[in-house]
Amino acid sequence: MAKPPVEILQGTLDMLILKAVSLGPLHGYGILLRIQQISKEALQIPQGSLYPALARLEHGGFVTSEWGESENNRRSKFYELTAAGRKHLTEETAYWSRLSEAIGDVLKARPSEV
Amino acid sequence: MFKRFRPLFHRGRFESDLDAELRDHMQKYRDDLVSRGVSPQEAELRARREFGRVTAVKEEVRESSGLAWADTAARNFRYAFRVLRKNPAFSLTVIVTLALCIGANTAIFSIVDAMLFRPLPYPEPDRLARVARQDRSDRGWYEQVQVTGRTWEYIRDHARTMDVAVHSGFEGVNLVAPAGGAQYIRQVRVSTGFFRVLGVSPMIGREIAPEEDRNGGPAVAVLSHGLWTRLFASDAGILGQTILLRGEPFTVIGVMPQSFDTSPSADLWTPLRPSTRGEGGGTNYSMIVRLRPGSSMAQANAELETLGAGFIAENHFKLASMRWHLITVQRANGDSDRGPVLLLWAAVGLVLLIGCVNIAGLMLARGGSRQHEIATRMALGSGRGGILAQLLSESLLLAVVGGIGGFALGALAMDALKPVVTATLRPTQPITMDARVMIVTALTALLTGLIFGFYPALASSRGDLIQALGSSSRTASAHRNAWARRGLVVCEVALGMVLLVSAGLVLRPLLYLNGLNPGFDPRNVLTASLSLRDARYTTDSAIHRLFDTSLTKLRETPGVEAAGIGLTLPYERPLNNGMRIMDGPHAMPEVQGTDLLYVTQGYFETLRFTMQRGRKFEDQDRAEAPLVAIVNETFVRQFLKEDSPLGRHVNLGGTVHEIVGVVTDVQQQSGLGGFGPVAPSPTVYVPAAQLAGKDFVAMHNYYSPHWVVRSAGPLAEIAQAMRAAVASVDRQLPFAEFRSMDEVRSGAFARQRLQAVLLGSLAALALVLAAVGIYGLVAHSVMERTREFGIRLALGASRWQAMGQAARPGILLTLIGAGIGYFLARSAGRLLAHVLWRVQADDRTAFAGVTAILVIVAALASLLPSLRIARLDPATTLREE
Repeated sequence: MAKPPVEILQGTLDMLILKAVSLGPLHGYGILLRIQQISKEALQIPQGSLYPALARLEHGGFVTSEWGESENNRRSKFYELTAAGRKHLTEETAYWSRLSEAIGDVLKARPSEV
Repeated sequence: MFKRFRPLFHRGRFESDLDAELRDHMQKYRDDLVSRGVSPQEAELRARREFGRVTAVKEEVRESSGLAWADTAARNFRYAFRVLRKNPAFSLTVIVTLALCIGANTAIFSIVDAMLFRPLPYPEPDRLARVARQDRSDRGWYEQVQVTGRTWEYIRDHARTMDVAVHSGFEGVNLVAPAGGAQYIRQVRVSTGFFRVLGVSPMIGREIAPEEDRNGGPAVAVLSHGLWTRLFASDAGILGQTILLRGEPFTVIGVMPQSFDTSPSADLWTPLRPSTRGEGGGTNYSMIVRLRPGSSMAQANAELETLGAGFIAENHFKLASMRWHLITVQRANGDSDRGPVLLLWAAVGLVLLIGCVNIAGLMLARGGSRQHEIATRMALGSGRGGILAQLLSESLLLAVVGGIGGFALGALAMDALKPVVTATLRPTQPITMDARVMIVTALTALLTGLIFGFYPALASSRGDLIQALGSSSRTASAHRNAWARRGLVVCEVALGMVLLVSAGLVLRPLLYLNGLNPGFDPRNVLTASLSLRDARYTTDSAIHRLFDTSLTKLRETPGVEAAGIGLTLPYERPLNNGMRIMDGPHAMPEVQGTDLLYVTQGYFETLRFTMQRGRKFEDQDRAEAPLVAIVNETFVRQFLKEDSPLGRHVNLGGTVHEIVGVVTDVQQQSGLGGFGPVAPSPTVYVPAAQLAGKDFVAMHNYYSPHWVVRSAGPLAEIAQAMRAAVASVDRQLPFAEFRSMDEVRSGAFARQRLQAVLLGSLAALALVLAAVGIYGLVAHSVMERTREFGIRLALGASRWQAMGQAARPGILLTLIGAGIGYFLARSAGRLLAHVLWRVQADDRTAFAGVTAILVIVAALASLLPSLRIARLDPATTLREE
C-alpha cells in the first residue's frame, strides 16, 4: 500500500526538477512523472507550479529548452540541464544532505546524548 | 547571456510557445487518465482542475522569465499613447515645442562639437598638442600659439617627452602640372617629421627627409589624395615627376591617403626649411607635438617649463615672464571663436530650458483637469508610484517623439546652414550629423522629458483623494497648481528677456556695420586676385608688363566699363607702412604708420571712388615722372588737419611723393583704424607704374594684387574675359576665386552676421515659446472660469470688463517676468561684453526695444484667448455643468 503523499518543501521544487532533467532531457509532464516515479508516488507536485519554476530555472541559465517530438508524434518542449545547472545541482544536493543530516541528528537525539 | 532576454524581444513567440506547452501538458495528462480507465469527460475535468488557473500560471511564468517590468512599462506606454492621442492639441503643442527646442540644440551642438570637441582624425588624437607661448603683461597672461625659429630649434633639440614638428600657415600658390594647365592651390610648408607626428604615413612614396628640410636641400612635394586624383588622374607613376610651384620645379615624393586631411584642407606639402632669420625671426611657425610612448601630458608640460627656463637663460632675456605649455589642437585652432560659440551654446540651452518650463506649465494645467481621473485610479488601488510611473511614461513618450522630430529639424537646419557656418567659423572638423550628435540629442530629449515631466507628475499624484473625488471635475484643479503655473510663466518671460536682450546687443553692431557708407559703389564689380609670389615675377618689369597688357586687353572687351588693379580691396586688410610728412606746418620729426596700396589707372574709376580734391592718377604718372600720391580724408584729418594737402610731400620709406589728390574714405580692416571689424583708416595710394625694385616685388610675398572689373554683363563672361586677358600675357598664371564686390563687402562681417542671425533666431524662438506659455495660461483659466464669467455677464458686467479681467494675469506676469529678466539680462550683458563692439552692455535701445516687443506679444497672447468671452452666451454657460 502506498504511503500518503507529502507536500514538498518551499524551495526544493527547483532542486527536484534539476535532478529529474539531470538524467536526460524531459518535457514538463515527463519531469512531473519522473519525480513521482522516483519518489514512489510520495511527492505530489501541484501541476501548475511546475512551469513558473521551469521559467525561473531557464531565466537563471540552469536549464535550456528546445522543441522536439514526444510519444504519439506530439510536439513538446524538452528541458535539458546546462553546465551551470549541473554545478548548481551538486551544490544544492550537498547543502540538502548536510541540512537533512543535521535536522535528523537533532530529531534523533536522546536525553543521554545531550 | 543574450538568450535570457530573448523573451523580451520575441514576445509573440514566447506567448504562443507557452500556450502550446501548457496545452501539451494537459493533453498528456488526459491521455494518461484515459488509458487508466477514466472516462474522457472525467479526464478533461480532472486535468483542468488539477492544473489550476491557466491565466494565473501564465502570469507567474512571465514574471519568472523576467517579463513583469517590461509588461508594466509596455502597458504604461500603451496607455500613455491612448491618453496623448485623445488630446491631440496638447500633444501636438508639446511635440512641436520639443522638436523646435531640441532641433535648435542639435544644430548648435553639431557646430560646437565640430569646433571644440570632436577628436582629430589621427591615431591617438589625445596625445597630440600644440606648444603655446604665454607672456605676462599688465592685463594678465597673453597667449600665442605661433613660435619663432629659435623657439622651435630649442624645443626640437632638447625635448625628450615629445616628438615634434613645425609648419607654416596656408598659402595660395600657382601650380603647373606636367599635363599642362595652371591651378591655384593651397600649400602648407612642413618640417620633416610632420606626418610622423600626426601618425599618418603617405599612401605611396615617403615623407619629407631631414636633408630636404634644410636650406639648399632638394625641392620636393607631397600631394594630397584630392590633388593627385584631380590633376594627375591618380597616376601611380607620379613619384619622381616634376611640377612647377610658383614657377620653380619640385619633385613629387609622396601622396597622402584619402582619409588624411588637415584643417583647413591643404592640396600639397613642401619642406618648411625652418630658420631663425627672415620668416623664422618672427612668430610665424606653428608647432605640433605628439607625446612619446610612456610620457604623459603633465610630464611634457613639466619638461617645457624647464626648457623655458633654459631658453630664457641662454638668450639672456631681461623679462623672465615667458613660459611654454601644451594646448589642444582644437583650442589652438578655434581660440577666437570659442567665446561666440560657447555663447550660442548657452543661448540654445536657455531656449531648451524655456521649452521645458513651457511644457511643464501645460502638463500642470492638464494635471489639474485630470485630477479626477487620477483620484479615481488611486481610489481603485493604484499606488502613488504607479501613477507617477504612468505620468512619467507620458512625458517620456512625448520626449521621444519630440526628440526624433528635433533631430530631423536640426539636420534640416544644418543642411541649410552648413556652407555658411563652415565658411565663416572654419571648424576644426567637418560638421556632420552622426552618431555622436544623435546620442547627445537622445540624451537631451530623455533628460528634457524627465525635467518637464517630474514636477507635474509629483504635483498631480499628491492630490487629496476625498476632495478631488467629491468635487466636480471642472473645479478640481488645485490652487497650488495655478500658482506654480504663474511662477513658470514668470520664469519663461524672464529667460526670454535675457535671450532677446542678448540678441539685441549683438544685432546693434551688425545694423551699424550694414548701415556704414562703403565709400564706393560695390555693385556690378567683379574681382579676383593673382599670386605673384612666383619665380617669373621677381622683376618689376615683368609685373608691369602683366598689369599693362592684361588691362589693355580687358578694356578692349565689349561690355567692360572700367578695369583696374590694386594691391588690396576695400573691406580687406591693407599693407601697413611707415610714412613721414616732409613739409608744411605738420611736418613730422618721426615716422608714423599708415595704410599703403598701389593702384593702377582705372582702379578708382572701376570702384567709383569720389575725388574730394585734386586729380586722379593719369598717363603722365610714369616711372620717370615726379612721384605722386593720393591720400584719403582720414589721412588728411589725422595728419594734415587744416593744412591744404595738395602739394605736400610724404616720405614712404625711401621715396618721396607729392600729394596730388584726396579721395573719399572707404571701409577697410586695419590695425590702424578704430576698433572693430571695419573702419576708415589713414591711407596713401600710389600709382603702380611708379613703383620699382625689390620692395615692390617683395610686397607680393604677403599680398596678391586684385583685378577689378566693372560691367553690367553676366559674371561668368567677365570672369572668362579676365582669364583670357591674363592668359594673353602668361598662360600659367591662375586666378584665385572670383568674387563680386558685394560678396567682398558682406564677407567682411560675415561672422557678426552669422552670430546675429543665429542668436536672433533663438531669441525669436524664445519669444514664440513665451507667447505660447502665456496664451496657454490665459486660455486655460478662461476655460476653467467660463461659468464664473457667465455669471458675471448675467449680473451685468460688460464684456470688456470680463475680458480685461481674464487677460490681466497674463500681462501682469509678463511685467513681473520682464522686471526679473531685466536684472538677469544686465548680468548676461556683462558676460557678452567681450563679443560686443560699439554698444554698451546695458544699451538702452536694446533694453527698451526688447521690453516693448515682449509686452506687446504678451498683451496679444493674453487678449487672444479672452476673445472667447466676447462670444460667450451667459444662458448656455449657466445651463451647462
